[in-house]
Amino acid sequence: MPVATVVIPFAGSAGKTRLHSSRRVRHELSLAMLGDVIAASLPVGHTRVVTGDADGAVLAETAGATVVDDPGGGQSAAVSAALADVEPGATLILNSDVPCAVPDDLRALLAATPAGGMALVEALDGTTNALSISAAETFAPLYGVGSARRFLGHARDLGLDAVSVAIPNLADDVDTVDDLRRLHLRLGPRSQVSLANLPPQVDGA
Amino acid sequence: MNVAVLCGGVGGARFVRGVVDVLPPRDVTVVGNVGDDLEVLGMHVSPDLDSVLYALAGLSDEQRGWGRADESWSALGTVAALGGETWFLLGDRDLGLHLVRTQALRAGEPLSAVIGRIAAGLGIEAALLPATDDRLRTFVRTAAGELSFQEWFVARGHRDEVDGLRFEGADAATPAPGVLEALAAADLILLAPSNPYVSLGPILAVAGIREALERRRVPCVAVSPLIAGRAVKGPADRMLARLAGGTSPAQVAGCYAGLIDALVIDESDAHDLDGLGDVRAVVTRTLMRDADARRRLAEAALGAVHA
Repeated sequence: MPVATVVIPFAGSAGKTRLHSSRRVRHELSLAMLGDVIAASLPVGHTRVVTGDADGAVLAETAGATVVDDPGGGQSAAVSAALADVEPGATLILNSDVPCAVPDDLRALLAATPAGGMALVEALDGTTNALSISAAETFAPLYGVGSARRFLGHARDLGLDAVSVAIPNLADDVDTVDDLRRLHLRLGPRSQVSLANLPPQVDGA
Repeated sequence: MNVAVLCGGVGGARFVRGVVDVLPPRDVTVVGNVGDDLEVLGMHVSPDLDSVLYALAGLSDEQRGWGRADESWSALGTVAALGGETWFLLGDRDLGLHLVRTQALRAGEPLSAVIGRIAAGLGIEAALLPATDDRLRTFVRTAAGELSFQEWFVARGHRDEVDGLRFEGADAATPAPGVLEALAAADLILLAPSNPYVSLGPILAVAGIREALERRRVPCVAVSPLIAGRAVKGPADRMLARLAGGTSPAQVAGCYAGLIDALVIDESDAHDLDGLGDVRAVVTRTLMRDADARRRLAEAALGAVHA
């Protein structure tokens, strides 16, 4: 039963230049990962994909998610737009590059969220892969370098409990094909198919 | 106590798992839906029967919510690289089952015999029967035209509102061997918390099965697939709203008019019991979050007519 709202910002392949030398392949891999992330989200909550990418929007709509137009200006602006008219209550903000995610990972993050507070899963580099907030007003535009630390600090400044949670499938984000190869059998089906279908790199990037 | 359960895919499969945790598995016969069977890449796939097989064998991917645990999709990657169809996500382990079934069907073995063999091979003690060995396929009528079940459900993400259903082949379909015998021998008949239209609808469209339920001498108990008027998974709530005019317990029971004596509903739906008529409401928690919750729901359904 949907109990939450899940916001998934999808910047297309624009932010994924390290993924592959071919723009077309980058785009396909990004869409495959988005498909797996949406599939993980739909059983958990109302899913809102915020994107300016036409193919991403079609994929999201076909899958049964709501599409929100990305106003531009980066991930924080995109998330703010998607949060503008969400239903009150638990909200997850989930990056589109965590293709190992399954519904139980999102339920675990929701369950780990302190009442009224915040929980997040950080990537190895200290950025935020998944953010769980109890109310949209708790969000602040803090994405970027070191965002996990800054989100937690922001919540505590508001007097809220805030925790960083270790959920491996949400911690493993994908920036490169090597990341995909390393995660191979943990990836969702669409990403596994896309990886198997990968043409050779043109320039070894 | 002999029990027959009519059952669809994932949610129904979870419920059946709870039933065999409570009763001796050999006392349980599951009658499964074949309306969403399809051919993919030349193979015969039975998504609902397979969900029950995996659930009863303890092989389901509980974290993902569908398919087999520890699944991978390498073969489908090859299919993609060679330009084949990949819209239906067949996993590597899953594929083995489809290969065996398809070969047996081509050799002329009826589906019920193949499923029985596969179930035995997976160590399943409960009996699993397809509703029919005959070809029966679900089609939905939408504003975009009539669509096959899988085209609507998977390829289009069941986003089209459904205005009606057609069960192709149902008129000529006869119950698979063992189905009527199991219904006749049952002390209790259960309808799993599956979609009344596209999961149990095709089973009840087989005239012999519907008549057996109409003439039953034992109680029949349905479990509502809704919680707080919403489907746990899939489009059951939207379909009820559009086709039955709402999502109250009475509207769920209305899908089984004349076929059930009790309806198990969630606490969150207990405020609106109007219109149930002769159907008894049994109120409990119906969300099958884990094995304990599955068992409790099974116990509630099994005890519904004695309590």
